[in-house]
Amino acid sequence: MPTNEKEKIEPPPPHPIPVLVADDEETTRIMLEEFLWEWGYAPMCVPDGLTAFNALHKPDAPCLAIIDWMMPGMDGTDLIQAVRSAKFDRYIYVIMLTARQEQEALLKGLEAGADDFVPKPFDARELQSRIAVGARVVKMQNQLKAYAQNLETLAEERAAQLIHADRLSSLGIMAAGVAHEINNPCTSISSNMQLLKRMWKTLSPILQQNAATLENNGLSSAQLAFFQTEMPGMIENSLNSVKRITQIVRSLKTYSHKEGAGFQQCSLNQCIHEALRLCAGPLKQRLAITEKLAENLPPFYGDAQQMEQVLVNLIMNAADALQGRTDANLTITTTWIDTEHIEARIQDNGPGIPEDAFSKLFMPFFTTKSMSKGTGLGLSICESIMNSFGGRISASNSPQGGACFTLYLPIS
Amino acid sequence: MNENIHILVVDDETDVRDSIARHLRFLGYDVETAANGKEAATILEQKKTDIVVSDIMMPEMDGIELLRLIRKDYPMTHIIMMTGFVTQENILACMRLGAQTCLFKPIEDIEELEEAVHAAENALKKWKETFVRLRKLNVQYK
Repeated sequence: MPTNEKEKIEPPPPHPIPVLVADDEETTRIMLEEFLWEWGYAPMCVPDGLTAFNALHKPDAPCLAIIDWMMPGMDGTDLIQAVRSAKFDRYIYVIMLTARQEQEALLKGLEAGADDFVPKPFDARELQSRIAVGARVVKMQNQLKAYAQNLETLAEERAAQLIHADRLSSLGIMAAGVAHEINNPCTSISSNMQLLKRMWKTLSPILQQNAATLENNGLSSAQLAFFQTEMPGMIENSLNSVKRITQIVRSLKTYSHKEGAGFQQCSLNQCIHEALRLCAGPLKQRLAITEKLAENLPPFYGDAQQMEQVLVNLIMNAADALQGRTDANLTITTTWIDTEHIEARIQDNGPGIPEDAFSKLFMPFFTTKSMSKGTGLGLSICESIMNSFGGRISASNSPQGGACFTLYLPIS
Repeated sequence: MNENIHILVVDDETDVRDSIARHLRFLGYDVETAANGKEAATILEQKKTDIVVSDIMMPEMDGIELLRLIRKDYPMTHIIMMTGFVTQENILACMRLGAQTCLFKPIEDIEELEEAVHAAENALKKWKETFVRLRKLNVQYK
């Protein structure tokens, strides 16, 4: 029998609301099924409580259920109790169907968690309107749920933003302190290494001249040759490492710039000209630059020097991405977006930004460059500068290929 | 040959103080060290010092205060400031109080320090020569 029943279960079409019918009497099931189709629902009929319970677990299972009170095995009350304690991620509206009309049974059913009660034999019109009520309740529940979920997502996003902002600002406060702390050990390493370099310059030829004496004293010529070749490299390496630390420290200090101090009306186009002038040396003939600057662009309120820093950073990033290409091109566009905003786009024809890098792009210390080339602070500094101007920086890959950075600024 | 030039290195960080002092000793100068302005002041009282190389941010008595004290009590002493914390106020204070120069930590090129010391040394030498000449003139006039 049950296999037969299963064949009857038709997959509900996407539009009609699916309704689960659990009844051990075949006649009732057939009757209900016909009525439900007629009323525009998608019935899903099962012969017992357990099958019904399992059916409700499936994804896209009905939110409306018509359940018979008396069933073999898991009966209606058991089923409702099971449904209520199963904590589905959606609300299931349950209409109990029963021949019993005693008040006792009615109360028991409602206590178990039924939403409504229809006596058997049922009046078709009454059942139809009761199912309609159920459908309405389910719809409202779903709306409420979606609304709550939406709120939750918004709250989560906001929290993530706040955490990000907080981390950036505390990093800013920390930065100056850290920079100072790191500077001192760097100073001593740097000056020691520089002195060592000079001492070695004096010592090295003397050691070589006295190679024979040294050999007699246990220093083989191979060992001496090793010292001679390795020592300058070791010293140079240490000096370069210190330089690198210094570079990071210097970038970190930018975090602690005083926000709003020295802000004035600035011309975005002028900042771009200045930034290009600053980059001209290192960029010499390495890439073609196309400027598409809007005329009569209104000014923004901020710090021109910091804006130039942002632009230089983006231009140099692009130049790094375009290294070794003969068709390297950088397009800088400025646009008057609306009455309140202007925009600058820095677009290259390089390999673009890897998909998995987008989420981390503006995070401090994230870099796609090799360790010796980038500190991973450039873009995060750009972001904090743009934020301090009340603007935004965003990254995308243009459909023609290549990375595109957009600077969005409020008009002063 | 530089041993008759006395230099005092002031920094609260032992390692920095020692490495700078070591470098100057390598160049042949007579070098003393102090951990802060107060210690430096004590040494200045006891020993004639030609050049002071001092950090700015220090406990007890900072570099700016030390600079002010030297300007007042030891006008012939040359001062080279070092700082890892570059602010406009710091630099302006150094310049107003007549520091020879201000080096930025970490001193990436130690030659900057050497040049500053040499400049101070030359100024001292010149002054001494002038002093001797003036004294001779005085004798003639008597």
